[in-house]
Order: sequence, then C-alpha cells, then structure tokens
Amino acid sequence: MTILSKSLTLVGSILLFHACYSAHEHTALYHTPSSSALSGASRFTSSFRLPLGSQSSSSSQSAAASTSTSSSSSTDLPLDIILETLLSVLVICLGLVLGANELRPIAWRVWAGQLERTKGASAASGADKSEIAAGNPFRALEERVGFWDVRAQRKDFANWVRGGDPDVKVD
Amino acid sequence: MIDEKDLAIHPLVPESIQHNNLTLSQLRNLSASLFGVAAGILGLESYPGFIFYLVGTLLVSALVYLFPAKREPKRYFQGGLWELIEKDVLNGLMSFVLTWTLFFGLVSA
Repeated sequence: MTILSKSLTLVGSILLFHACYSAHEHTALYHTPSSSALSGASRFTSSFRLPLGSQSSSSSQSAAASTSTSSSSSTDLPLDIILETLLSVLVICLGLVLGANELRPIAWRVWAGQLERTKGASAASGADKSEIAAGNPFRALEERVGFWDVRAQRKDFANWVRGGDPDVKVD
Repeated sequence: MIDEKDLAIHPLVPESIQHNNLTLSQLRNLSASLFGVAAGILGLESYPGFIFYLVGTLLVSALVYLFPAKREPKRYFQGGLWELIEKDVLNGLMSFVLTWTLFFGLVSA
C-alpha cells in the first residue's frame, strides 16, 4: 500500500512539474515583449498607410491581426497541458489519500473489540510499541497506583541491577 | 439530555477522534497546496479558482470516503459524512490561495 501510494505521488509530481514547465514555456512563448512590440509597430505603420510598399503594410497588418488574436487567446493553455495538470492532481490526491494514516474507529466498543482481536497478532509480529501502548483500553485501570505490585517491581529492579547490562550505571 | 445518555451508553475514544481529525487535516492541507499549484498553472482567476478549490476538496472527501473510511464515515467521524466533507475546508483555503498566487505569478508573469 505504501509503495503504491509513494509511486503514485512520485508519478503525479513528475507530471505536475512537467505541466508547470510546459505552461511556463507556453506563456513565455506567446507573451514575449518583442512580439507585442512588433504588433504595436505594425499597427502604427498600418494606421499611417505609407505609400511605399502598401503590399508589405497589408501583410504586416495581417501578421498583426494574427499576433493580436494569438496574444488574446494565449491566456488559455493548450488542452494537453490542462489535461496533464488535472490528471497529475488526481494521481497525487490518490497517492496522498492511500498513503494517509489509517483511521481508528471512534466508538469505544468497536475500538476495544478490534484491539482484543488483533492483540495477539500484534504482539507476535512485534508491532511498534506506541501502537501496543495505545492499544490497551484498560491501561488506565492497570496503571492505578493502588494496584501496583511494589514487591514484584522491587525484585525486578534488584535483578536488573545485579544482572543487568554493564553499560547501565546505577548510582 | 439524550446526547449525554447516548455518550454514556456508547462511549467514544478521544484519542481516536483526535487521530482521525489530525489525519484528515493533514490531507486537507497537503491537497489544498496541491490544488493551488494546479490552479496557478491553469491560470484561473477569481471565482473559477475558488470553485476549483471546492471541487478539489470534494474530490478528496470522496477519496477519503472510499479508501480510509471504507464507506463507513460514522465509524470514524462523530458527525458522519457531513463532518468528513466540511472539516478543515476553510483552513486549507489559506494555503490554497498562497500557492495559487505563487504559481500564477511564476507561470504567467
């Protein structure tokens, strides 16, 4: 599950990065200052209608028209970049949701029942300690001070001091 | 009070509630930034951007409903399905706007 979610997130991130770069390049291509200056200049010349080379002015007029239409429509990206962005978002969302922590049931009876059923399994498989510690519904009862077996604990401590590992120093 | 009686008969686990809320809010924050990136790339402005965010959060809610909650939202959230849908939506909006403006500026400026 985690490998699946991680790989999904990775693939989605690559797609998103690519879409972002493509969009940036696309806007950089169609919003270059030179093209806008060119279109402005050609509009200028076409408004003046120079007698010399009326052919060229008409051609520049058509070019200006084409650049102006492209600059007005350049705010909307090509369809493939849009689709890539949406797909990458979908894939990353799926990866995130699949990789999220597992939810725990909030009703006490459901939770405790689940724990009791999985208690032996988790102890045998050596699940991480926080899970086990959080997993005892009667911990508050078992840790009541009045119910401590002090003698047993003292005995355990003495054993640990005598035969414990040499790294631990007891003052 | 019916609610108190109900709570006494069917007690809840506060740690589990906290854990579930934390999980959901983490998902919401991460996905909100992600939607901001997407909205910035798409160059959305004003209302379409916010509508995009709402649609995205609905999508995440649907995914949470399907996968971690296993189609039983009442089992994991006190308020049931509605809590799953509306929880932390406004918290994510802030990070959404942050990444939205950032990527809008990066891409189209």
